[in-house]
Amino acid sequence: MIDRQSRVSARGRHPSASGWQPDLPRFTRLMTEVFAREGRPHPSVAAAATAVRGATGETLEQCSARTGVAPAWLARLESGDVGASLVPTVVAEATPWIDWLSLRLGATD
Amino acid sequence: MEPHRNTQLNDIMQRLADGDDAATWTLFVEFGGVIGATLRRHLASMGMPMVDQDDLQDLVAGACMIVRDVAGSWSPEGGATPWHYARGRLRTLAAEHIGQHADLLDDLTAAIHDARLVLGRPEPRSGTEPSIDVVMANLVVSCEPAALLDQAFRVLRASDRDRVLLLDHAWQEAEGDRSPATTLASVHGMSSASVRQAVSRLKRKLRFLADIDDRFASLAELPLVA
Repeated sequence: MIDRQSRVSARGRHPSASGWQPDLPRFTRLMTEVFAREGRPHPSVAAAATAVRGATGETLEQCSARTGVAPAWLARLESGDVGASLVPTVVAEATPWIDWLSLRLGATD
Repeated sequence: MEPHRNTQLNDIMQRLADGDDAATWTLFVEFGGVIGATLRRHLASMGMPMVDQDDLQDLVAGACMIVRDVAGSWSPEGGATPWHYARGRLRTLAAEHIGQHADLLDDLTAAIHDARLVLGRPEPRSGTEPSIDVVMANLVVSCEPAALLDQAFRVLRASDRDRVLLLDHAWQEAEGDRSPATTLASVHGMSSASVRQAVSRLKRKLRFLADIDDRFASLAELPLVA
């Protein structure tokens, strides 16, 4: 007889759980939609900026130390207050699946 | 869940509760697999044992948004994971997905019905035993449960002999053979006890796989595995 704890633990170790391959571009689109619904001025930028930190699980300070972007500026990017043209290169480079060129050339962001 | 994963989850939930949107990403990346397994279970319980990878990504993303919404009211002291805490909303999410795929569900239900007939029906014998590859190749193209069974055999690394024994045993039973193990023992040059043991062992493995892996949950419904 397998107890519940062992079963839950086995599920966590099983390839179906550990083999998860997150589709980041897809999730970016969804986050952009969510942020747009929330009324953020630049939802694509907010989605990208949160991806840079969230995909690695960092705090603002840790991300700042890694990227060289000030925590306050990172927070502004994540809130969607800043347009694509002001996104630091390091943020754009960390999200290569986003078409930054189009965003910077004036498409909706 | 392993202790370090618990700690990681609690940290993510605290950050979500504090309004840290980046934690939604962390949840999606780190716990998407487990959340996906939960969603598969909900879908399977509603009659949809298979889900497309793209659809699963969308469902997991939607579930992460739900978890984000409930982060403020969730507490680790309750003992439930956030996706179990939000079970009702996740089931609604799964139900909405099925609602959007009613045609697919109809197809799947029909396929399961067909598979039950096929897997339980005597195979015409021509004097020579059909190889397991031929049997499974015919089945996997016609119905998803058979494809799932084939996939489960691969995951379990079941030997060709054990696969043949399991299928033949089911067919012999369906033909009305009251001692299928004895019949198969003479065909395969084994003792009837060994046949019964091999069949029972593979059934047990399939049931275990169906129990721990939601991709294979629907196998438990097949008479072949029961």
